Amino acid sequence: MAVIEVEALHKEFRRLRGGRTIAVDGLDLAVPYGGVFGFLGPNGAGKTTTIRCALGLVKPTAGRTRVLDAEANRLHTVIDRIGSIVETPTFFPTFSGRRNLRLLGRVDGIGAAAVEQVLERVGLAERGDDIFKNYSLGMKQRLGIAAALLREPELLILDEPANGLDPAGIKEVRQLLRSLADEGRTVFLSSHLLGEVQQICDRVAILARGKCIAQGEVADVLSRGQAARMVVKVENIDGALQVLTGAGFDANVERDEILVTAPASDGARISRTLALKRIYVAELRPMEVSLEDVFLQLTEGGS
Amino acid sequence: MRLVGVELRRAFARRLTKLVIVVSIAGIVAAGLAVYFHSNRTTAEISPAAPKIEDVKNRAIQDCVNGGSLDFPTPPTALPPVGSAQRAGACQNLVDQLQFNQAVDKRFHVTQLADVLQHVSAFAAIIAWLLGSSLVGAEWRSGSMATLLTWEPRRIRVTMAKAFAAVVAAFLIVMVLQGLLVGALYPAARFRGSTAGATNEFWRSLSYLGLRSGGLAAGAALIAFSVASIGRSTAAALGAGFGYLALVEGALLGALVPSSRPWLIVRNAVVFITDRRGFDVPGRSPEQAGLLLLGYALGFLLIAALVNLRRDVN
Repeated sequence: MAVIEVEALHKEFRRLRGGRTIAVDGLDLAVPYGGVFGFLGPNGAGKTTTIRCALGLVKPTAGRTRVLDAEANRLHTVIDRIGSIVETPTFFPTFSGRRNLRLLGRVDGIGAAAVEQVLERVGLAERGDDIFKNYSLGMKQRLGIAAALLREPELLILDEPANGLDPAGIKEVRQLLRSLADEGRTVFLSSHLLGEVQQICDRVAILARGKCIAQGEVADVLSRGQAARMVVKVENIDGALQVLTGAGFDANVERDEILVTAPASDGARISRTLALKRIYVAELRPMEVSLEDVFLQLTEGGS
Repeated sequence: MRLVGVELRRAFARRLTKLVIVVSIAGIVAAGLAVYFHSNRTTAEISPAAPKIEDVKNRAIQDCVNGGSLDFPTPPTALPPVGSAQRAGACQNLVDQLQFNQAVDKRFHVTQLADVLQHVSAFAAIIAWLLGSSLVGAEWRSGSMATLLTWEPRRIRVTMAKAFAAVVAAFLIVMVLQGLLVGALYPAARFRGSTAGATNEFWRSLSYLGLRSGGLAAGAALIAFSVASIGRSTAAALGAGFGYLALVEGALLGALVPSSRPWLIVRNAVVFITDRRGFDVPGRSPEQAGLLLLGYALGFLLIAALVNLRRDVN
C-alpha cells in the first residue's frame, strides 16, 4: 500500500511563444507508508512539478496521482491528513508569522494553542510576532514547516525544507523530520542536500529529465550506482597493483591508494594475495559510496 | 463557513483596508469640520438675493408648466399632463425641491445629504474596486494563494469564500463610512444650517440611497475581485477596470455605438444611484439597473471561478 502513488505522470508546459517544456515524462512512483522518502533530482528534473501535481496545484497532462488513496479530484477528503511545503513557503507578507498560522489554522478549526506548539517546535516562538516579509529565508522555511505540522498530519510533503537554513538549522530539521517519521508519519522529502537525505531517508527515488531512474531503499540504490570496490593502502603501490592485476583483480590507482573492483567478501583474498608476495596491507576497507556519487553518476553529472 | 470567516478576518486585517478606512475617516472629519464652519445660517446674505431667486424659480415653474424638461429629482413623466389644472401645482412642488436659493444660501441643508451621498458613491465604488482587486491580487503576487490551496484544494470554494469576503468587506466599509459622513455633516445642518425637509420620508430615501451606494461598491468589489482573479494581479484589475470604463465605455461604445448605452456599466450605475431614468437608459428603474449590474458582477465571478478551476498554480 502506497501513501503516494504516481502513475505515468506526464506534464507539459506550453510556452507563450510556442513550444513546450516537458517537466515530467511518464513518471511512476510509489511511496510506502512510514519513514522518510527522499525525492532527488537535479534542477528541472520535475520534482516540484510532481509535488504540485500530487497536491492538486497543477493538473497533469496525462497520468494520475493518488495521495492517501484519494485521486486528485478527491484530494479535499484527505487534505487534513497532509502537511506540505512547496518551494519557499509563502504567506501574507504583512501579517506576522503567528497571525498567518492562526488564520491558516482557523480554516480547520485549529486553535491558538496548537499554533504555539508548532512555533515552539520549529524554534520560532520568540519571533512569531515578526512580520513575515521581514523573516530570513531560513525563518520562512521554519514557518512553512510549522504550517505543515499544524494539522498533525500523517503525511508530510516537503519540497526543499532545508533551503536557506544554516547548518544548525539543517541539523534541527533533520532531527525533526526523523522524529516525525519515528512517530509513524510518512515524510516525503524533496531535497538537493544529498548528505542530509542519505542520513535520514529510508528510501529514495532519483529523477532525471522528468523520469524516475532509480527507486528503492537507500542501500539498494547505493549499490545500484556502481560495482562494489575495496580500498587498499600499501607502501609499495606499484608492486601491489602488479600483483593484484596479475591475480585477476580489476584494480587501478587513485591518489595514494588502490581501488579494487570486488565485494567486501573478497577482502581476505586480496590480503592473502598481497601477503604471499610479501606486500602487507596498511588499510583494507570497502569503499563507501555516497548518495551524491550515485546521484551524479545516474543523472550524468546533474545535467 | 470557517473559510469565509478567515477570509473576512484577513480582509479587515489588511493594511490597505486599514489605510482606506483611516484616510476615509480623516477625510470625513475634515469634510464635517469644513462644512460646519462654512455653513452660515445668518440671513444677511440670503435676503438681498431673495427676489432674484424668486425670479429664477418662477421662470423654472413656467418652463415646467409649458412642458419643458428640467433636471427634476422625480421624472417629469410623473407630472400631470401639460395644460391640466394640476400641472402648475406639481411644477411648484418640483421646483421647490431644486433649492435654487442654495446659490447664495450658505447654509448647509440636511436635504443636501442626498447629493453628497450620490457624489460620494463614485469614490466608494473606486475604493471598493481597489479593495476587491487587491484582496486576491496580492495573494497571487505573494504566492500565499498556493499555500492556501494546499489547505483547501477546492478552488471554487476558495474563490467563492474570497469573493464573499470582498463583497461583504466593501459593503460594510462603505455603509459605515456613509454613516459616519452623514453623522459628520449633520451637525452643520442642525446647528449652523437647515434641517428643513428632514422628514421620515427623506431619511428613508437617504437610507435607500446609502444602501444602493453600498450595493454598487459591493458590485464593484466583486467585478474587481473577479478580474484580479483572472489576471492574478491587482494591477491587471486596476488597469483593465479603468481602461475599460474610460476607453471602451467612455470613448468607444458610449460615443460610437449609441445602442449599447443601456447596457453600459457606468450609465446603469448612474441610474442605480441617482434614479435619473433619462440618462441614456430610458425608463430603467434603479432596481432594474441594479439587477443588470448584479448580473454583470456574477458573470465575471463565474468566469473567474472557471478560469481558476482550470489554471495551474505555479
